[in-house]
Amino acid sequence: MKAWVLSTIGLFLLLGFGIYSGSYLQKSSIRVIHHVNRVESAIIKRQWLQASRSLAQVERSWKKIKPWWAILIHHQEIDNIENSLVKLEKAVQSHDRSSSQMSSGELQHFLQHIPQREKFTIINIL
Amino acid sequence: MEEYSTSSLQKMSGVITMLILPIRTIILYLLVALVIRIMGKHQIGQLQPFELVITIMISELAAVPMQDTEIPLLNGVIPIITLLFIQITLSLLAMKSIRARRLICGCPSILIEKGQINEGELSRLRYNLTDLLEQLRLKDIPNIADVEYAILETSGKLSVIPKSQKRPVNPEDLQIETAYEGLPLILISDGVFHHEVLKQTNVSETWLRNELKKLGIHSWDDVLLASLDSAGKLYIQPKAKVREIKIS
Repeated sequence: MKAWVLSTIGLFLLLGFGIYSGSYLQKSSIRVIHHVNRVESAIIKRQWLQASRSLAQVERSWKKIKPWWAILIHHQEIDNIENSLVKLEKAVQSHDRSSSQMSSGELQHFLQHIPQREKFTIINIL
Repeated sequence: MEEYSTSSLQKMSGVITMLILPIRTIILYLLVALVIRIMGKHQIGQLQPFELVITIMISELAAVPMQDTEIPLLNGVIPIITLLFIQITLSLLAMKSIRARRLICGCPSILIEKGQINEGELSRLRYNLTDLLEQLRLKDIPNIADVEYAILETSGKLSVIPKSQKRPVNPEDLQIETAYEGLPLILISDGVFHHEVLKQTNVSETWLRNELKKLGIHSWDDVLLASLDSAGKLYIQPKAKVREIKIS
């Protein structure tokens, strides 16, 4: 009976952690996407200095959340985000509008898709 | 983003993986050992079907994140703890309710009843005669005619009850009085004297010391094993180094 109580407590703690981690992923991805949107609008307006500044903000917020995301999601997803961040950085540095837009779109997709994948939905269960 | 040269990156990733793998292995090993310990002795003895499933799943769940550093450790930990919960819940249900026990563990099947092979049960269980004869031979019963009952337990093991004329003779059959035989008590093991165990006996520490002195042993450290049986007979084996000194 003691073992059952212990395992039940453990399971409930994990369930609580699961709910919290889902909401954390959602909130933190929205924060980074917000900064990426700023980069994108600067790219559209060809304001490369502004784009670089906003990109630095993206990197700062990404660095903050990356260690926590690494605990929760497959590390391949983190590599995908890092790769598109590098691509975006290089494209902004070379003032290449189309490549920059493509990379920022890709980055947004990767950031949005992770909380979707971790959501408690029937599609994810199946 | 930080800039790295290709060679330094390659060196770093190699060293880091070599460090990460043993740490992940230690964490998962400790977790699985703890989980198996909590699941109880059943898990390492005779497994019921649902326990076998859980054991196979746990080993797989621990092995995958152990090798693949791309997978977060939590992806292995959470299912293992969930399986622990399921296993303990099912065991408790099986313990509390007969109906649940039948559903979870199944029922033992009688393959030989009153010396007759139960054909229907054999075909239902897809258990052929060769398997049955093999299991009987493993139980030292070469002749099926000597069997009164053979029961296939829920753990998959075959229990055999031989005919009364064929079972080994015991003292009761011969009407022989036997003395009580209890569990021998270990008084000293590997040089460590167990004071708590000595309290359970009717001998004193002084008596034990005297017995050891008779064999030329003056310290507990020189004893590999000393046990006392229910008849009061003391068994002493000194350590090899003490024996070697005596021989030389």
